Amino acid sequence: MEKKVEKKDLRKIFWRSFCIQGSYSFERMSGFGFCFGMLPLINKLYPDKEEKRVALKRHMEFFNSHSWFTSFIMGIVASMEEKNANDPNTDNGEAISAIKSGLMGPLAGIGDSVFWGCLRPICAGIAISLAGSGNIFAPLLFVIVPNALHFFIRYKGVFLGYDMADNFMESMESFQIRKWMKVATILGLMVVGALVASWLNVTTPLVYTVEESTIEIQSLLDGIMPGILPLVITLILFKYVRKGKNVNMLMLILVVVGFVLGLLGIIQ
Amino acid sequence: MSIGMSLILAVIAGMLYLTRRLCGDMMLERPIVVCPLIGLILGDYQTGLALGATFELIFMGAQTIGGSVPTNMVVASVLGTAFTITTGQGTEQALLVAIPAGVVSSTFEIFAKTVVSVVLARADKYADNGNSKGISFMFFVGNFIHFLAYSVPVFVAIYFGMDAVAGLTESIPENIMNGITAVGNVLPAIGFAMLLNSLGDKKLFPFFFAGFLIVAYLPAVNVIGVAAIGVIIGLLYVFNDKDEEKSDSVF
Repeated sequence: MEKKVEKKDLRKIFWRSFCIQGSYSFERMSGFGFCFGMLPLINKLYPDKEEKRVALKRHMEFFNSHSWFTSFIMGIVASMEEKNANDPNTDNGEAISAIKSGLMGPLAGIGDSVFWGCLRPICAGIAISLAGSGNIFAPLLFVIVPNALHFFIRYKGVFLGYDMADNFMESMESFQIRKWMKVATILGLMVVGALVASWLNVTTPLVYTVEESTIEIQSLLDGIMPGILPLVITLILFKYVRKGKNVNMLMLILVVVGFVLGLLGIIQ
Repeated sequence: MSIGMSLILAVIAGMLYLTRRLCGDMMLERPIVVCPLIGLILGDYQTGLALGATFELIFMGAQTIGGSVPTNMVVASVLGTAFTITTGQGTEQALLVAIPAGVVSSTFEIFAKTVVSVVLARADKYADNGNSKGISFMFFVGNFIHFLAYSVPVFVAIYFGMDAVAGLTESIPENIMNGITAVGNVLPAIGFAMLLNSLGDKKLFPFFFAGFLIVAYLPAVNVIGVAAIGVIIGLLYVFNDKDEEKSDSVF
């Protein structure tokens, strides 16, 4: 009898895909969450215990991607599992694992730069300025706007993945993903630049006295370029982050250096 | 703080963190959400809101990249807000209390992500037997460990630590306060540096300066304004690039 993935199965995957990062571990990262998401479908497609055993183990493997895109990958996997279950003569297990590990990296890259590198700083920047002026709706805006997009991507993703599993390479190209990622990166970079200029309020209170007239160092710096101190500090830190230095360590150093410079009255 | 309220705050901290694990990373564990919520519970929403803005700025770039564990911003946010509202001290004192607590607490998350391996081993066994109920149960156990990794440090810090440090932070000399103020002002830089790193395309880096210069010289332009300009420039740049036509696949 032909086993079929129905709409309600995909909807189940959509709901379960929210738990993708559950029971997170260094060992398998989101692997456990992926298995949890596929559980009902595996139960349905493989009534035979031996086949089910193999399928469950397949999805306990290492997995890590961007949370919002996982339902898309799960949709593709659902389609592949469906074929696998209906074709007892060939084992597509390796192909399924390959698709998972082939997609998770690129999608994580897209998600991290578009959502965490671009969307979130924009929303955070707006929410911070609203909260700073006492607007009580700032947290609500921060939650509702990005998550409307999140839910849309997650819901559409599972159906889209299932439908285009057969020829998704061609379909991906028609989206021109790389171009849109570049647009998002440019937007993200400009927003971060704006945030550095508007929210990094590091100045120097130093004054310099020459024959009874005092010169404020800060106004000298402002004459060169407004916000030059925040810019230089950010660029120095960026250099070290890019080199792969431990971020918690850098933060600790920044705290100590900032504290000493503040104590000595060099920055404020 | 009373044991009851400490427990409530600890449970809320654990739940907010679990939304990242079980509700698809909805960003509910960000300071701009956590601080106002804790403020609401303790009866001072506005203070929570103001602290939320300060803490969000500091932790803006903080994110787990490939499983690394940054400073625990949930613990820092809950503790900082509870401290400010109950003691009435300023933002500098709150940072002084919250940031070290957040750094120390990140070890609990590292512990949880390591210990879950034991849970995984059991789940593997259930998978080997085709027992999907067993797998679901172990999934629950693993999540409970993660819950404890956040709620325990919050409870300990609030119930045992807060009153103890409140006396110490009350009488800080002025030059020390200047140092703390400087730290608060300079800390967001690390987040911005991390954001820049996640937007790592060397060829596009000049756009960072473009965004910076617009606001530095025209302070009236806000984030929305720069974002709008950014979309236009991005579209013009990318869709007019002839070389770009040739290869368009990330996979």
